[in-house]
Amino acid sequence: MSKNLTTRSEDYSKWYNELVIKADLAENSAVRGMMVIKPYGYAIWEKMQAELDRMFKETGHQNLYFPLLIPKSFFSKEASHVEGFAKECAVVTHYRLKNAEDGS
Amino acid sequence: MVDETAKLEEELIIRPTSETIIWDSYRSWIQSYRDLPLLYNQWANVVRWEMRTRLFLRTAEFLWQEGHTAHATAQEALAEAQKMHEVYTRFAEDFMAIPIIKGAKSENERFAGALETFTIEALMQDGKALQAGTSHFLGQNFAKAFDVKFASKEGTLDYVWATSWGVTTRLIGALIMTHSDDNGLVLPPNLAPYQVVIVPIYKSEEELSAISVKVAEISKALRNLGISVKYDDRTTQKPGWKFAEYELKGVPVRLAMGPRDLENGTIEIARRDTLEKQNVSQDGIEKFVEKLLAEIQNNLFDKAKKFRDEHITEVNSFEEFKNVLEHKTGFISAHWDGTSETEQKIKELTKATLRCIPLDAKEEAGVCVLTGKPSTKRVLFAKAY
Repeated sequence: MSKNLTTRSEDYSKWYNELVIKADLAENSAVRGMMVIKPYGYAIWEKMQAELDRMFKETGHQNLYFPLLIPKSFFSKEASHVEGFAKECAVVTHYRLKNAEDGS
Repeated sequence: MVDETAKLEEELIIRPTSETIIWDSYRSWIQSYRDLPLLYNQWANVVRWEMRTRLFLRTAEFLWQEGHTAHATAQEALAEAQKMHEVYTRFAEDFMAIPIIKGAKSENERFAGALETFTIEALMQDGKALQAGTSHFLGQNFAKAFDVKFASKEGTLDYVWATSWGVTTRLIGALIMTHSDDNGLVLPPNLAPYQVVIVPIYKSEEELSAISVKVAEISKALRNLGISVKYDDRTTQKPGWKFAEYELKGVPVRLAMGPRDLENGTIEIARRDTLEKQNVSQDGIEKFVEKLLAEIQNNLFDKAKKFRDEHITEVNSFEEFKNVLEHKTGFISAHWDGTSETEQKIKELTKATLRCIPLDAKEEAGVCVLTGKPSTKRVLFAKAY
């Protein structure tokens, strides 16, 4: 297998990017900025999750789950909170697609 | 294409964090002091539309856990935020072998809506800092925003006190940049998907089967001690290829067994952290490996801590500040006048941010490196991920 990582002293940032790909931890996806976590990388995350979850439960916490989507109006209720996150919010505006006449 | 007639009446945000929707529910879950505290956590994905992204370190979507707790008193909520800060520190140091500086964020760097943000700060091999986890004391801000009140023991109505705390898949980036080397990933045994890989070295089918019988015994003995093992007996790849592969993937311990080992009752053992190899007896190999794994875990932490400690530099002038930042890198321990203006100015001039006010910072009279105004303790600056 071809290792030949860029060395850290040559270019640290390049070394990091190559390592993540070559060690098969994660890769970029079709969506810019969103990654695919590959099985070996996900296995590391699972180990981290298991230990953290154990520690949370040991300190009296329970798990629950809330929805992925939040009404937009909720965000403006806490002034500094909205200011902190406004610039990076993804917004859902529609709930249906239809076939266009040109098929797109 | 989007059906314009299917427009949502109220637009929805993909969660960047969940305080708002959670506190909206807490309003109906909390009426009296008997309902408190609420100590909840969720494992989830969140989206923050970042423009400059990097795998694990900064991605537009990431996985995390977010704890959200509700309390009757300020003291109790603050204690919870501190407790989880300590949990994160223990996790990072004992499990990931990443040495941590525990600190509080300046007002400028606090979580949006928090009264106090506690942080665990780590130092990467290139001298840049990385915020590895945060725990926030939110005061009554979200209770006020979502009208969450409770009847106290005394019968008065008061707003509920809150905390939130989270760590993310970004920690995997921290892991890589703390321990790995030019040959690839180096994993602390505590979080390696498999801690030991065994590679057979053989010429014939018969040799392979004889080795496999012995390896099965060793694997069983290792698993009995709770050690995770992978036996790579694929015939499609050569041993040399496998060695390189597991080195790249950071498997802490590699065992290799050939026909001569079978005759002599020996086995070759190689550790990923130092790349040292030796031949040892198969007898009691499981105990040997168990001890070695513990040693690797400790060695990785000690090595990272030594590097980190060597890269905390006290400076007493702005010239020195810039010089250390430019040439030595790492954390810069300096006096600061406590204002956001000075913090911003330093950031503009040097690109270094105020990483934290260390919790163990000792009282020490000094003057701000930028303004010369009085200061009572040193804080840490660094360039950061």
